[in-house]
Amino acid sequence: MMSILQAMWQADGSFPNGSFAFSYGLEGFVVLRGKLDATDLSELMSTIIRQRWATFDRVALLRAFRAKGDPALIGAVDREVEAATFGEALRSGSRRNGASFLNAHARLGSPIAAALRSDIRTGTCLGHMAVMQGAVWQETGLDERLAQLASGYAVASGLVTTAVRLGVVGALQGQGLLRACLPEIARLAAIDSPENEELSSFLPVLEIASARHAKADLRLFAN
Amino acid sequence: MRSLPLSCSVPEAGREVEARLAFDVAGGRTTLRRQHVGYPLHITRGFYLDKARPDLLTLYLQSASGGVYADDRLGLDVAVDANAAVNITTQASTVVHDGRGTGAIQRLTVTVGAGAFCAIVNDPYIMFPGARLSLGATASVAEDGVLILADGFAVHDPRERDRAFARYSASTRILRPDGRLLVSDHGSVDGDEMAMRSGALGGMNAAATVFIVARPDRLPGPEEFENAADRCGCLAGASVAPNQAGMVMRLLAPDGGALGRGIEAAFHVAACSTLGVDLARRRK
Repeated sequence: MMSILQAMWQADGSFPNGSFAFSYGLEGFVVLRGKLDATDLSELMSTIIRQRWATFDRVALLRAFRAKGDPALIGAVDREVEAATFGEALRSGSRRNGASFLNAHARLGSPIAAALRSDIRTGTCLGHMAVMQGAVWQETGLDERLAQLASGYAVASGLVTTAVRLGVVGALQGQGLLRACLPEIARLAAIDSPENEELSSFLPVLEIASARHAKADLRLFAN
Repeated sequence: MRSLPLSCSVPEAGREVEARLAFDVAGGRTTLRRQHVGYPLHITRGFYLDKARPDLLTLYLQSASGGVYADDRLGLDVAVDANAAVNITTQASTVVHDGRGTGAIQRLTVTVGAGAFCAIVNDPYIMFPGARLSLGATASVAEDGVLILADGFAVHDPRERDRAFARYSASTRILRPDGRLLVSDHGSVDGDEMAMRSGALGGMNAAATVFIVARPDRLPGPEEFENAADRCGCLAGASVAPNQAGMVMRLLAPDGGALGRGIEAAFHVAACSTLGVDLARRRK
């Protein structure tokens, strides 16, 4: 029971992990399109879950989880995430969120979070969010299934929070879209990820939106 | 007694081809030192098109068979020796036919030596209904070498029966000669995704990626790179590549024609920035 509560705690949007500044390119997409409706947002959330989270973030998280605290293995996954992430805004946002996540856990007394912060300082690790989540959650008693569910939920809920703050949907409408994502997250989290599965992502429209938006003078989110 | 089917009615097994091209410098210009190219691939003779860079060799790579078919396994190894300069391009888009469940695989291996320039710029693949194509590229680029790599696809349903292609996958790994990984770009999209207005391609019908591997002082500005493609009707986004490898740009377009023009414009900006001279238009 305790591990389920730990997963809920980690998926909760109030945990200070820096994701409030991370929009996955959604803000740039809103600027590109001019106006989005709930159908657009629903399609976009489903696409992000399938084309990015399931095949990239989830895979990086599981590989870091399975590293069982080995800094060399965690560092190798981290460098692969760096090499495989399009766009400086997405890479720096992911590293910044990972650092915030580690800071919070280190201040709450997590030894592995403190060790990983030190590894970032020495360059052994880079600190990408999904990798840090996998490494820390393995130590905090989550199993692979719960770690994936917490990660998937946090991504979907972060997108809804972003969309509400950008005025794309209202708060209640956003919760409806979040609920609609849950079966997909559960289905994808049940798919086995073999050892050394390649990180894969295909979201050109959001990558373009994020790259263009990074040059904008006025923006609410870091990416 | 049952007749055997006519030979022409039996579906052909896919072709397995390993082509090799090796370039070096001789007599002050780049030459094709070794070539091994089998059917269905074909290369034209080399052209020296650029007055500003008379040493730069341009080759057109063609498919002599009308496209890529199910079960095709096509490999191309390109080796560009130190200080050589070569541009390999296609004369037109390549049609990818119904993959019949198995699909086709195209593999590219590139080695770019010290001080060399290599641009491999393909017109978009045209994904017919049922097409399944997997592209895999691995490139090793010396610290002061330049690589420009462009690949993409467009959707086409000639009978307009709303049949989607099956799957497009592209995987690119760019490394230094010592094995250090710079860029790893791996992604796939199913044809069914294209119907979504806010899916992976944002409702567009064509997508491409352009990589420039070069020292930072030889790169174009990201906005200049984007604007060149935008002016051709594309929507482009450029960014610094991971590990200071250079620059990477994604392009989306409403159709293959706009995407092809955007890729060509991006190539000219990238070539001008990395070589310091404007290259001539590649006639197609």
